[in-house]
Amino acid sequence: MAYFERYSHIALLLAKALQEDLTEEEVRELEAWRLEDKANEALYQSMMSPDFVNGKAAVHERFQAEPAYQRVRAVCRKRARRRRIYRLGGVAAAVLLALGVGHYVWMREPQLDKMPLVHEVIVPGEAKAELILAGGERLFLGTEVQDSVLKQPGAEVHASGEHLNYVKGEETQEIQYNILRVPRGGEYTVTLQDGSVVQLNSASELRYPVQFAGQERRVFLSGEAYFEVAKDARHPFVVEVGHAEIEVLGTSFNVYSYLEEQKTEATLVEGKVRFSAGGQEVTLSPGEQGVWDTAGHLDKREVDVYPYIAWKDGKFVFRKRTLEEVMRIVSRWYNVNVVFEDAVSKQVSFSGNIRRYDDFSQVVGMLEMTGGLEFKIEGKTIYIAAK
Amino acid sequence: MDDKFPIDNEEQFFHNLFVEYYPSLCSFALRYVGDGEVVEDLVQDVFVKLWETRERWREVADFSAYVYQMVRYRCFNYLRGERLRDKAVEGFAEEIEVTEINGYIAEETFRIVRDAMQCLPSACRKVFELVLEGYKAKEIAGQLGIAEETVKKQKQIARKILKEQLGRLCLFLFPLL
Repeated sequence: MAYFERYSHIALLLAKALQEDLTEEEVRELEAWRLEDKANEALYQSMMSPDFVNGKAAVHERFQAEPAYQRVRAVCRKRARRRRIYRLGGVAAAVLLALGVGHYVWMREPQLDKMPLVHEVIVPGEAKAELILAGGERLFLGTEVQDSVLKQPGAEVHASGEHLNYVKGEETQEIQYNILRVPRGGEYTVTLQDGSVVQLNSASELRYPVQFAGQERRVFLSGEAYFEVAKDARHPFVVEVGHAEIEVLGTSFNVYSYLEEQKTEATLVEGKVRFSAGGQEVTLSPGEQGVWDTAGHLDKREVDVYPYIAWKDGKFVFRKRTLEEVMRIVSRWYNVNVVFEDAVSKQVSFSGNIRRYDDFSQVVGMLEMTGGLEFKIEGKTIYIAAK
Repeated sequence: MDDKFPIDNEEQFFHNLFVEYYPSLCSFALRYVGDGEVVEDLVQDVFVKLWETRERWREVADFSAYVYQMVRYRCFNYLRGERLRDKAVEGFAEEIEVTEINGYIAEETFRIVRDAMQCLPSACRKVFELVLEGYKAKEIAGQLGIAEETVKKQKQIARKILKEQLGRLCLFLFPLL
Protein backbone atom coordinates (compact mmCIF):
# COMPACT_ATOMS: atom_id res chain seq x y z
CA MET A 1 0.00 0.00 0.00
CA ALA A 2 1.22 3.42 -0.84
CA TYR A 3 1.70 5.97 1.87
CA PHE A 4 2.35 9.64 1.68
CA GLU A 5 5.70 9.50 3.43
CA ARG A 6 7.13 7.64 0.48
CA TYR A 7 6.47 10.72 -1.61
CA SER A 8 7.66 13.47 0.71
CA HIS A 9 10.97 13.66 -1.06
CA ILE A 10 9.19 14.04 -4.42
CA ALA A 11 7.52 17.17 -3.07
CA LEU A 12 10.91 18.44 -2.02
CA LEU A 13 12.38 17.71 -5.43
CA LEU A 14 9.49 19.49 -7.11
CA ALA A 15 9.97 22.47 -4.85
CA LYS A 16 13.59 22.53 -5.90
CA ALA A 17 12.57 22.16 -9.54
CA LEU A 18 10.27 25.16 -9.20
CA GLN A 19 13.21 27.13 -7.91
CA GLU A 20 15.45 25.65 -10.59
CA ASP A 21 17.76 24.19 -8.03
CA LEU A 22 18.05 20.53 -8.96
CA THR A 23 21.29 18.60 -9.12
CA GLU A 24 21.72 16.19 -12.01
CA GLU A 25 21.06 13.27 -9.76
CA GLU A 26 17.87 14.87 -8.51
CA VAL A 27 16.75 15.50 -12.07
CA ARG A 28 17.13 11.79 -12.75
CA GLU A 29 15.23 10.91 -9.61
CA LEU A 30 12.40 13.19 -10.59
CA GLU A 31 12.39 11.76 -14.08
CA ALA A 32 12.03 8.27 -12.71
CA TRP A 33 8.99 9.39 -10.76
CA ARG A 34 7.52 11.13 -13.81
CA LEU A 35 7.83 7.94 -15.81
CA GLU A 36 6.17 5.88 -13.11
CA ASP A 37 2.67 7.00 -13.98
CA LYS A 38 1.01 9.18 -16.58
CA ALA A 39 -0.67 11.07 -13.77
CA ASN A 40 2.74 11.94 -12.34
CA GLU A 41 3.91 13.42 -15.60
CA ALA A 42 0.67 15.37 -15.91
CA LEU A 43 1.12 16.68 -12.38
CA TYR A 44 4.69 17.68 -13.11
CA GLN A 45 3.65 19.57 -16.23
CA SER A 46 0.86 21.40 -14.45
CA MET A 47 3.09 22.29 -11.51
CA MET A 48 5.82 23.75 -13.65
CA SER A 49 3.35 26.21 -15.09
CA PRO A 50 2.90 29.55 -13.30
CA ASP A 51 -0.81 28.73 -12.99
CA PHE A 52 0.07 26.26 -10.30
CA VAL A 53 1.67 28.76 -7.95
CA ASN A 54 -0.97 31.37 -8.67
CA GLY A 55 -3.83 28.94 -8.23
CA LYS A 56 -2.53 27.59 -4.94
CA ALA A 57 -1.80 31.06 -3.64
CA ALA A 58 -5.42 32.03 -4.35
CA VAL A 59 -6.76 28.99 -2.52
CA HIS A 60 -4.49 29.67 0.44
CA GLU A 61 -5.89 33.19 0.72
CA ARG A 62 -9.17 31.66 1.79
CA PHE A 63 -7.72 29.86 4.77
CA GLN A 64 -6.43 32.21 7.42
CA ALA A 65 -4.33 30.39 9.95
CA GLU A 66 -4.27 32.76 12.91
CA PRO A 67 -8.00 32.99 13.70
CA ALA A 68 -8.32 29.27 13.10
CA TYR A 69 -5.46 28.64 15.50
CA GLN A 70 -7.24 30.61 18.22
CA ARG A 71 -10.34 28.48 17.76
CA VAL A 72 -8.33 25.28 17.98
CA ARG A 73 -6.59 26.38 21.15
CA ALA A 74 -9.93 27.23 22.73
CA VAL A 75 -11.29 23.80 21.90
CA CYS A 76 -8.16 22.11 23.23
CA ARG A 77 -8.42 23.95 26.53
CA LYS A 78 -12.09 23.12 26.88
CA ARG A 79 -11.54 19.47 26.11
CA ALA A 80 -8.57 19.20 28.44
CA ARG A 81 -10.97 19.99 31.26
CA ARG A 82 -13.46 17.28 30.52
CA ARG A 83 -11.47 14.70 28.72
CA ARG A 84 -12.05 11.12 29.53
CA ILE A 85 -9.55 8.53 28.61
CA TYR A 86 -9.88 4.85 28.70
CA ARG A 87 -6.61 3.29 29.50
CA LEU A 88 -5.96 -0.22 30.50
CA GLY A 89 -2.82 -2.02 31.37
CA GLY A 90 -2.59 -5.44 29.78
CA VAL A 91 -2.54 -8.15 32.40
CA ALA A 92 -4.19 -6.30 35.23
CA ALA A 93 -7.04 -5.42 32.97
CA ALA A 94 -7.48 -8.95 31.78
CA VAL A 95 -7.84 -10.05 35.38
CA LEU A 96 -10.35 -7.35 36.15
CA LEU A 97 -12.32 -8.18 33.07
CA ALA A 98 -12.35 -11.79 34.02
CA LEU A 99 -13.91 -10.72 37.28
CA GLY A 100 -16.50 -8.87 35.31
CA VAL A 101 -15.71 -5.49 36.72
CA GLY A 102 -13.72 -4.29 33.77
CA HIS A 103 -15.23 -1.25 32.37
CA TYR A 104 -15.95 0.50 35.60
CA VAL A 105 -12.30 0.45 36.42
CA TRP A 106 -11.15 1.79 33.08
CA MET A 107 -12.24 5.23 33.81
CA ARG A 108 -9.49 7.19 35.25
CA GLU A 109 -11.51 10.07 36.46
CA PRO A 110 -13.87 9.33 39.28
CA GLN A 111 -16.98 11.35 38.41
CA LEU A 112 -18.92 8.45 36.93
CA ASP A 113 -22.20 10.29 36.96
CA LYS A 114 -20.96 13.05 34.72
CA MET A 115 -19.58 10.80 32.04
CA PRO A 116 -21.70 9.28 29.37
CA LEU A 117 -20.90 5.60 29.21
CA VAL A 118 -19.63 4.30 25.96
CA HIS A 119 -22.73 2.32 25.16
CA GLU A 120 -24.91 5.37 25.21
CA VAL A 121 -23.18 6.48 22.09
CA ILE A 122 -22.15 3.25 20.45
CA VAL A 123 -24.70 0.50 20.06
CA PRO A 124 -24.50 -2.78 18.21
CA GLY A 125 -26.15 -3.16 14.87
CA GLU A 126 -29.79 -4.15 14.53
CA ALA A 127 -32.23 -5.23 11.88
CA LYS A 128 -32.55 -2.39 9.46
CA ALA A 129 -32.43 -1.96 5.74
CA GLU A 130 -33.75 0.00 2.87
CA LEU A 131 -35.69 -1.62 0.08
CA ILE A 132 -35.46 0.05 -3.28
CA LEU A 133 -38.13 -0.93 -5.74
CA ALA A 134 -37.82 -1.13 -9.50
CA GLY A 135 -39.36 2.31 -9.85
CA GLY A 136 -36.83 3.83 -7.46
CA GLU A 137 -39.25 4.06 -4.56
CA ARG A 138 -37.58 3.55 -1.18
CA LEU A 139 -38.97 1.78 1.84
CA PHE A 140 -37.31 1.68 5.21
CA LEU A 141 -37.34 -1.63 6.98
CA GLY A 142 -36.63 -2.28 10.61
CA THR A 143 -37.93 -4.01 13.68
CA GLU A 144 -40.75 -1.50 13.91
CA VAL A 145 -42.11 -2.55 10.51
CA GLN A 146 -44.47 -5.40 11.24
CA ASP A 147 -46.34 -7.44 8.69
CA SER A 148 -46.66 -5.13 5.79
CA VAL A 149 -47.36 -6.56 2.38
CA LEU A 150 -46.34 -5.07 -0.88
CA LYS A 151 -47.49 -6.27 -4.27
CA GLN A 152 -45.10 -6.14 -7.16
CA PRO A 153 -45.38 -7.74 -10.59
CA GLY A 154 -44.40 -11.38 -10.07
CA ALA A 155 -44.30 -11.51 -6.30
CA GLU A 156 -45.78 -10.35 -3.08
CA VAL A 157 -43.35 -9.01 -0.54
CA HIS A 158 -43.98 -9.54 3.15
CA ALA A 159 -41.94 -7.45 5.53
CA SER A 160 -41.90 -8.33 9.18
CA GLY A 161 -39.28 -7.21 11.66
CA GLU A 162 -35.97 -8.39 10.44
CA HIS A 163 -37.14 -10.43 7.51
CA LEU A 164 -38.33 -9.79 3.99
CA ASN A 165 -40.13 -12.58 2.21
CA TYR A 166 -40.90 -12.79 -1.51
CA VAL A 167 -43.84 -15.00 -2.28
CA LYS A 168 -44.20 -15.95 -5.90
CA GLY A 169 -47.18 -14.50 -7.67
CA GLU A 170 -48.31 -14.85 -11.26
CA GLU A 171 -45.72 -15.56 -13.91
CA THR A 172 -44.60 -12.39 -15.51
CA GLN A 173 -42.47 -11.55 -18.52
CA GLU A 174 -41.29 -8.31 -17.07
CA ILE A 175 -38.29 -8.78 -14.81
CA GLN A 176 -38.15 -6.22 -12.08
CA TYR A 177 -35.24 -5.81 -9.75
CA ASN A 178 -35.29 -4.83 -6.12
CA ILE A 179 -32.32 -3.67 -4.10
CA LEU A 180 -31.97 -4.47 -0.43
CA ARG A 181 -29.46 -2.14 1.10
CA VAL A 182 -28.22 -2.65 4.63
CA PRO A 183 -26.38 0.29 6.19
CA ARG A 184 -23.44 0.17 8.56
CA GLY A 185 -24.78 -0.98 11.88
CA GLY A 186 -27.51 -3.04 10.26
CA GLU A 187 -28.32 -6.59 9.22
CA TYR A 188 -31.27 -8.04 7.38
CA THR A 189 -32.55 -11.29 5.96
CA VAL A 190 -34.46 -11.84 2.77
CA THR A 191 -36.14 -14.93 1.39
CA LEU A 192 -36.12 -14.68 -2.36
CA GLN A 193 -38.97 -15.82 -4.53
CA ASP A 194 -37.30 -19.21 -5.18
CA GLY A 195 -37.03 -19.89 -1.45
CA SER A 196 -33.33 -19.10 -1.12
CA VAL A 197 -32.51 -17.28 2.07
CA VAL A 198 -29.92 -14.53 2.10
CA GLN A 199 -28.69 -13.03 5.32
CA LEU A 200 -27.05 -9.67 4.71
CA ASN A 201 -24.42 -8.23 6.99
CA SER A 202 -23.74 -4.53 7.64
CA ALA A 203 -22.85 -2.21 4.79
CA SER A 204 -24.01 -4.70 2.21
CA GLU A 205 -26.31 -4.62 -0.74
CA LEU A 206 -28.15 -7.27 -2.70
CA ARG A 207 -29.85 -6.74 -6.03
CA TYR A 208 -32.20 -9.45 -7.21
CA PRO A 209 -35.20 -9.98 -9.45
CA VAL A 210 -38.60 -9.99 -7.81
CA GLN A 211 -39.27 -13.14 -9.77
CA PHE A 212 -36.56 -15.32 -11.25
CA ALA A 213 -36.92 -16.00 -14.96
CA GLY A 214 -34.77 -17.66 -17.58
CA GLN A 215 -32.02 -20.23 -17.23
CA GLU A 216 -30.34 -19.01 -14.12
CA ARG A 217 -31.08 -17.29 -10.87
CA ARG A 218 -28.71 -14.37 -10.79
CA VAL A 219 -28.26 -11.89 -7.96
CA PHE A 220 -25.73 -9.12 -7.37
CA LEU A 221 -23.94 -8.59 -4.10
CA SER A 222 -21.58 -6.15 -2.52
CA GLY A 223 -20.48 -6.59 1.07
CA GLU A 224 -21.15 -9.77 2.99
CA ALA A 225 -23.97 -12.27 2.90
CA TYR A 226 -24.71 -15.82 3.92
CA PHE A 227 -26.65 -17.75 1.30
CA GLU A 228 -28.80 -20.81 1.75
CA VAL A 229 -29.75 -21.54 -1.79
CA ALA A 230 -32.89 -23.52 -2.55
CA LYS A 231 -32.13 -26.59 -4.66
CA ASP A 232 -33.07 -26.31 -8.29
CA ALA A 233 -30.68 -28.21 -10.53
CA ARG A 234 -32.17 -26.76 -13.68
CA HIS A 235 -31.68 -23.18 -12.67
CA PRO A 236 -28.21 -22.52 -11.29
CA PHE A 237 -27.98 -19.76 -8.73
CA VAL A 238 -25.32 -17.17 -9.52
CA VAL A 239 -23.98 -14.55 -7.16
CA GLU A 240 -22.21 -11.81 -9.00
CA VAL A 241 -19.73 -9.85 -6.91
CA GLY A 242 -17.78 -7.22 -8.75
CA HIS A 243 -15.98 -9.03 -11.52
CA ALA A 244 -16.30 -12.43 -9.91
CA GLU A 245 -19.18 -14.84 -9.83
CA ILE A 246 -20.15 -17.80 -7.77
CA GLU A 247 -22.37 -20.39 -9.33
CA VAL A 248 -24.24 -22.94 -7.27
CA LEU A 249 -26.97 -25.50 -7.54
CA GLY A 250 -28.21 -25.78 -3.98
CA THR A 251 -25.97 -25.08 -1.06
CA SER A 252 -24.95 -22.87 1.86
CA PHE A 253 -22.05 -20.51 1.65
CA ASN A 254 -20.77 -17.16 2.75
CA VAL A 255 -19.61 -14.39 0.46
CA TYR A 256 -17.40 -11.66 1.81
CA SER A 257 -16.70 -8.94 -0.68
CA TYR A 258 -16.29 -5.45 0.70
CA LEU A 259 -14.57 -2.94 -1.53
CA GLU A 260 -12.21 -1.90 1.26
CA GLU A 261 -11.11 -5.48 1.91
CA GLN A 262 -9.83 -5.72 -1.64
CA LYS A 263 -10.75 -9.33 -1.98
CA THR A 264 -13.74 -11.54 -2.42
CA GLU A 265 -14.00 -14.63 -0.26
CA ALA A 266 -16.47 -17.40 -0.85
CA THR A 267 -16.59 -19.91 1.99
CA LEU A 268 -18.51 -23.07 1.39
CA VAL A 269 -20.45 -24.78 4.17
CA GLU A 270 -22.23 -27.43 2.17
CA GLY A 271 -22.85 -28.43 -1.42
CA LYS A 272 -20.65 -27.41 -4.29
CA VAL A 273 -19.97 -24.09 -5.92
CA ARG A 274 -18.03 -22.84 -8.86
CA PHE A 275 -16.17 -19.61 -8.23
CA SER A 276 -14.95 -17.84 -11.32
CA ALA A 277 -13.20 -14.55 -11.80
CA GLY A 278 -10.78 -13.02 -14.25
CA GLY A 279 -11.00 -15.99 -16.59
CA GLN A 280 -10.01 -18.40 -13.81
CA GLU A 281 -12.18 -20.88 -12.03
CA VAL A 282 -12.11 -23.02 -8.90
CA THR A 283 -14.61 -25.52 -7.64
CA LEU A 284 -15.19 -25.47 -3.92
CA SER A 285 -16.16 -28.33 -1.67
CA PRO A 286 -17.40 -27.93 1.89
CA GLY A 287 -14.69 -26.50 4.13
CA GLU A 288 -12.98 -24.78 1.25
CA GLN A 289 -12.67 -21.12 0.56
CA GLY A 290 -12.02 -19.36 -2.71
CA VAL A 291 -10.25 -16.02 -2.55
CA TRP A 292 -10.11 -13.57 -5.41
CA ASP A 293 -7.92 -10.56 -4.76
CA THR A 294 -7.53 -7.28 -6.56
CA ALA A 295 -4.18 -8.39 -7.92
CA GLY A 296 -6.11 -10.89 -9.99
CA HIS A 297 -5.29 -14.12 -8.18
CA LEU A 298 -7.96 -16.69 -7.60
CA ASP A 299 -6.93 -19.24 -5.02
CA LYS A 300 -8.52 -22.05 -3.11
CA ARG A 301 -7.69 -23.13 0.42
CA GLU A 302 -9.03 -25.25 3.20
CA VAL A 303 -10.37 -23.32 6.15
CA ASP A 304 -12.15 -23.77 9.41
CA VAL A 305 -15.48 -22.49 8.19
CA TYR A 306 -16.86 -21.37 11.51
CA PRO A 307 -15.04 -18.03 11.92
CA TYR A 308 -16.28 -16.98 8.50
CA ILE A 309 -19.94 -17.67 9.09
CA ALA A 310 -20.25 -17.07 12.84
CA TRP A 311 -21.57 -13.57 12.21
CA LYS A 312 -24.85 -14.97 10.99
CA ASP A 313 -25.36 -16.59 14.38
CA GLY A 314 -24.55 -13.42 16.24
CA LYS A 315 -20.87 -13.86 16.93
CA PHE A 316 -17.61 -12.43 15.80
CA VAL A 317 -15.03 -15.16 15.74
CA PHE A 318 -11.51 -14.08 14.97
CA ARG A 319 -8.58 -16.41 14.44
CA LYS A 320 -5.26 -14.66 14.10
CA ARG A 321 -6.65 -11.69 12.25
CA THR A 322 -4.79 -8.41 12.23
CA LEU A 323 -6.33 -5.71 14.35
CA GLU A 324 -6.84 -3.71 11.19
CA GLU A 325 -9.07 -6.41 9.73
CA VAL A 326 -10.84 -6.92 13.03
CA MET A 327 -11.61 -3.25 13.39
CA ARG A 328 -12.95 -2.98 9.87
CA ILE A 329 -15.38 -5.76 10.64
CA VAL A 330 -16.32 -4.42 14.06
CA SER A 331 -16.70 -0.86 12.79
CA ARG A 332 -19.19 -1.88 10.16
CA TRP A 333 -21.38 -3.46 12.78
CA TYR A 334 -21.15 -0.81 15.47
CA ASN A 335 -21.02 1.93 12.89
CA VAL A 336 -17.99 3.56 14.41
CA ASN A 337 -14.96 5.12 12.85
CA VAL A 338 -11.58 3.70 13.61
CA VAL A 339 -8.39 5.66 13.47
CA PHE A 340 -5.09 3.88 13.84
CA GLU A 341 -2.54 6.30 15.09
CA ASP A 342 0.42 4.22 14.09
CA ALA A 343 1.21 1.40 11.73
CA VAL A 344 2.30 -1.00 14.49
CA SER A 345 -1.09 -1.32 16.14
CA LYS A 346 -2.73 -2.26 12.83
CA GLN A 347 -0.62 -5.37 12.63
CA VAL A 348 -1.36 -6.69 16.11
CA SER A 349 -2.75 -10.19 15.78
CA PHE A 350 -6.02 -10.95 17.50
CA SER A 351 -7.88 -14.14 18.26
CA GLY A 352 -11.08 -14.29 20.22
CA ASN A 353 -14.85 -14.53 20.20
CA ILE A 354 -17.14 -11.59 20.70
CA ARG A 355 -20.91 -11.61 20.84
CA ARG A 356 -22.27 -9.31 18.19
CA TYR A 357 -25.03 -7.97 20.37
CA ASP A 358 -22.71 -7.08 23.20
CA ASP A 359 -22.12 -3.62 24.41
CA PHE A 360 -19.28 -1.96 22.57
CA SER A 361 -17.28 -1.44 25.74
CA GLN A 362 -17.03 -5.21 26.09
CA VAL A 363 -15.64 -5.45 22.62
CA VAL A 364 -13.02 -2.87 23.45
CA GLY A 365 -12.25 -4.80 26.61
CA MET A 366 -11.63 -7.97 24.61
CA LEU A 367 -9.39 -6.19 22.19
CA GLU A 368 -7.44 -4.48 24.91
CA MET A 369 -6.59 -7.83 26.40
CA THR A 370 -4.14 -8.29 23.58
CA GLY A 371 -2.11 -5.78 25.57
CA GLY A 372 0.16 -3.03 24.42
CA LEU A 373 -2.66 -1.03 22.91
CA GLU A 374 -4.53 2.03 23.99
CA PHE A 375 -8.09 2.61 22.87
CA LYS A 376 -9.55 6.03 23.17
CA ILE A 377 -13.15 6.66 22.38
CA GLU A 378 -14.42 10.05 21.37
CA GLY A 379 -18.01 10.10 20.23
CA LYS A 380 -18.20 7.50 17.51
CA THR A 381 -14.52 7.45 16.73
CA ILE A 382 -12.10 4.96 18.21
CA TYR A 383 -8.47 5.94 18.28
CA ILE A 384 -6.07 3.06 18.60
CA ALA A 385 -2.43 3.47 19.41
CA ALA A 386 0.41 1.31 20.57
CA LYS A 387 1.43 2.13 24.12
CA MET B 1 15.52 13.67 19.19
CA ASP B 2 18.10 16.17 18.17
CA ASP B 3 18.21 19.92 18.09
CA LYS B 4 17.25 20.15 14.43
CA PHE B 5 13.70 19.65 15.47
CA PRO B 6 13.23 21.07 18.91
CA ILE B 7 9.80 20.38 20.28
CA ASP B 8 10.62 21.10 23.86
CA ASN B 9 8.33 24.03 23.70
CA GLU B 10 5.27 22.15 22.56
CA GLU B 11 3.03 25.12 22.35
CA GLN B 12 5.44 27.06 20.19
CA PHE B 13 5.98 24.07 17.97
CA PHE B 14 2.26 23.50 17.64
CA HIS B 15 1.66 27.10 16.69
CA ASN B 16 4.37 27.05 14.05
CA LEU B 17 3.11 23.79 12.69
CA PHE B 18 -0.39 25.16 12.53
CA VAL B 19 0.51 28.34 10.72
CA GLU B 20 2.72 26.48 8.32
CA TYR B 21 0.33 23.68 7.44
CA TYR B 22 -3.15 25.01 7.92
CA PRO B 23 -3.76 26.52 4.47
CA SER B 24 -2.11 23.56 2.74
CA LEU B 25 -4.14 21.03 4.66
CA CYS B 26 -7.35 22.92 3.97
CA SER B 27 -6.49 23.08 0.31
CA PHE B 28 -5.71 19.36 0.37
CA ALA B 29 -8.98 18.55 2.14
CA LEU B 30 -10.95 20.45 -0.50
CA ARG B 31 -10.31 17.54 -2.82
CA TYR B 32 -12.40 15.30 -0.64
CA VAL B 33 -14.90 17.70 0.83
CA GLY B 34 -15.87 20.50 -1.49
CA ASP B 35 -17.18 22.87 1.15
CA GLY B 36 -14.55 25.32 2.40
CA GLU B 37 -16.25 25.86 5.73
CA VAL B 38 -16.54 22.17 6.46
CA VAL B 39 -12.95 21.73 5.41
CA GLU B 40 -11.81 24.26 7.98
CA ASP B 41 -13.74 22.47 10.70
CA LEU B 42 -12.25 19.13 9.76
CA VAL B 43 -8.69 20.40 9.63
CA GLN B 44 -9.19 22.09 12.97
CA ASP B 45 -10.44 18.80 14.39
CA VAL B 46 -7.24 17.21 13.22
CA PHE B 47 -5.15 19.80 15.00
CA VAL B 48 -7.11 19.32 18.20
CA LYS B 49 -6.36 15.64 17.88
CA LEU B 50 -2.74 16.39 17.14
CA TRP B 51 -2.45 18.52 20.25
CA GLU B 52 -4.04 15.86 22.38
CA THR B 53 -1.58 13.25 21.19
CA ARG B 54 1.44 15.50 21.55
CA GLU B 55 3.25 12.95 23.68
CA ARG B 56 3.60 10.90 20.52
CA TRP B 57 5.02 13.59 18.25
CA ARG B 58 8.50 12.33 18.75
CA GLU B 59 7.57 8.97 17.38
CA VAL B 60 6.40 10.37 14.09
CA ALA B 61 8.98 9.81 11.40
CA ASP B 62 7.53 12.15 8.81
CA PHE B 63 5.35 14.81 10.31
CA SER B 64 4.25 16.20 7.03
CA ALA B 65 2.94 12.91 5.66
CA TYR B 66 1.44 12.19 9.06
CA VAL B 67 -0.73 15.29 9.23
CA TYR B 68 -1.90 14.94 5.65
CA GLN B 69 -2.88 11.39 6.39
CA MET B 70 -4.76 12.48 9.46
CA VAL B 71 -6.64 15.04 7.41
CA ARG B 72 -7.42 12.44 4.79
CA TYR B 73 -8.81 10.14 7.46
CA ARG B 74 -10.86 12.88 8.99
CA CYS B 75 -12.36 13.76 5.61
CA PHE B 76 -13.11 10.16 4.97
CA ASN B 77 -14.85 9.74 8.28
CA TYR B 78 -16.81 12.87 7.66
CA LEU B 79 -17.91 11.66 4.25
CA ARG B 80 -18.89 8.33 5.72
CA GLY B 81 -21.20 10.06 8.11
CA GLU B 82 -22.60 12.28 5.40
CA ARG B 83 -22.97 9.74 2.69
CA LEU B 84 -23.44 6.51 4.48
CA ARG B 85 -24.50 4.68 1.41
CA ASP B 86 -22.17 6.07 -1.14
CA LYS B 87 -20.01 3.18 -2.13
CA ALA B 88 -17.44 5.34 -3.83
CA VAL B 89 -16.56 6.63 -0.39
CA GLU B 90 -16.32 3.21 1.17
CA GLY B 91 -13.39 2.23 -0.97
CA PHE B 92 -11.09 5.04 -0.33
CA ALA B 93 -10.26 4.42 3.31
CA GLU B 94 -7.53 1.96 2.76
CA GLU B 95 -6.20 2.32 -0.72
CA ILE B 96 -4.51 5.60 -1.37
CA GLU B 97 -4.86 6.39 -5.02
CA VAL B 98 -2.30 7.99 -7.28
CA THR B 99 -4.46 11.08 -7.54
CA GLU B 100 -4.50 11.39 -3.77
CA ILE B 101 -0.77 11.00 -3.52
CA ASN B 102 -0.35 13.57 -6.22
CA GLY B 103 -2.70 15.86 -4.34
CA TYR B 104 -0.43 15.47 -1.37
CA ILE B 105 2.67 16.11 -3.47
CA ALA B 106 1.18 19.25 -5.02
CA GLU B 107 0.17 20.71 -1.65
CA GLU B 108 3.45 19.82 -0.03
CA THR B 109 5.50 21.27 -2.85
CA PHE B 110 3.68 24.54 -2.62
CA ARG B 111 3.99 24.58 1.14
CA ILE B 112 7.71 23.95 0.97
CA VAL B 113 8.24 26.66 -1.62
CA ARG B 114 6.12 29.14 0.28
CA ASP B 115 7.79 28.31 3.54
CA ALA B 116 11.27 28.56 2.14
CA MET B 117 10.39 31.92 0.67
CA GLN B 118 9.50 33.29 4.08
CA CYS B 119 13.25 33.39 4.68
CA LEU B 120 13.97 35.69 1.79
CA PRO B 121 14.57 39.39 2.34
CA SER B 122 11.43 41.19 1.27
CA ALA B 123 12.77 42.82 -1.90
CA CYS B 124 14.21 39.55 -2.95
CA ARG B 125 10.99 37.68 -2.17
CA LYS B 126 8.89 40.08 -4.20
CA VAL B 127 11.10 39.42 -7.19
CA PHE B 128 11.03 35.69 -6.74
CA GLU B 129 7.26 35.56 -6.28
CA LEU B 130 6.90 37.25 -9.62
CA VAL B 131 9.35 34.79 -11.14
CA LEU B 132 7.22 31.92 -9.89
CA GLU B 133 4.13 33.65 -11.20
CA GLY B 134 5.68 33.38 -14.63
CA TYR B 135 6.94 36.89 -15.27
CA LYS B 136 10.13 37.52 -17.22
CA ALA B 137 12.96 39.58 -15.74
CA LYS B 138 12.09 42.50 -17.99
CA GLU B 139 8.46 42.52 -16.94
CA ILE B 140 9.39 42.28 -13.28
CA ALA B 141 11.77 45.19 -13.66
CA GLY B 142 8.94 47.19 -15.21
CA GLN B 143 6.47 46.25 -12.51
CA LEU B 144 8.74 46.99 -9.58
CA GLY B 145 10.40 49.98 -11.19
CA ILE B 146 13.90 48.59 -10.82
CA ALA B 147 16.66 47.79 -13.28
CA GLU B 148 16.59 44.47 -15.08
CA GLU B 149 20.09 43.84 -13.74
CA THR B 150 18.83 44.25 -10.18
CA VAL B 151 16.07 41.75 -10.86
CA LYS B 152 18.60 39.20 -12.05
CA LYS B 153 20.80 39.86 -9.06
CA GLN B 154 17.89 39.46 -6.63
CA LYS B 155 16.95 36.25 -8.38
CA GLN B 156 20.45 34.94 -7.79
CA ILE B 157 20.38 35.86 -4.14
CA ALA B 158 16.99 34.25 -3.79
CA ARG B 159 18.23 31.05 -5.39
CA LYS B 160 21.19 30.91 -3.08
CA ILE B 161 19.13 31.37 0.07
CA LEU B 162 16.44 28.97 -1.09
CA LYS B 163 19.06 26.38 -1.84
CA GLU B 164 20.24 26.53 1.74
CA GLN B 165 16.67 26.52 2.98
CA LEU B 166 15.73 23.47 0.97
CA GLY B 167 18.91 21.77 2.05
CA ARG B 168 17.85 22.22 5.63
CA LEU B 169 14.36 21.05 4.75
CA CYS B 170 15.77 17.69 3.80
CA LEU B 171 16.64 17.32 7.43
CA PHE B 172 13.32 18.74 8.55
CA LEU B 173 11.38 16.22 6.54
CA PHE B 174 13.11 13.31 8.15
CA PRO B 175 13.90 14.68 11.58
CA LEU B 176 14.21 11.36 13.30
CA LEU B 177 16.05 9.30 10.78
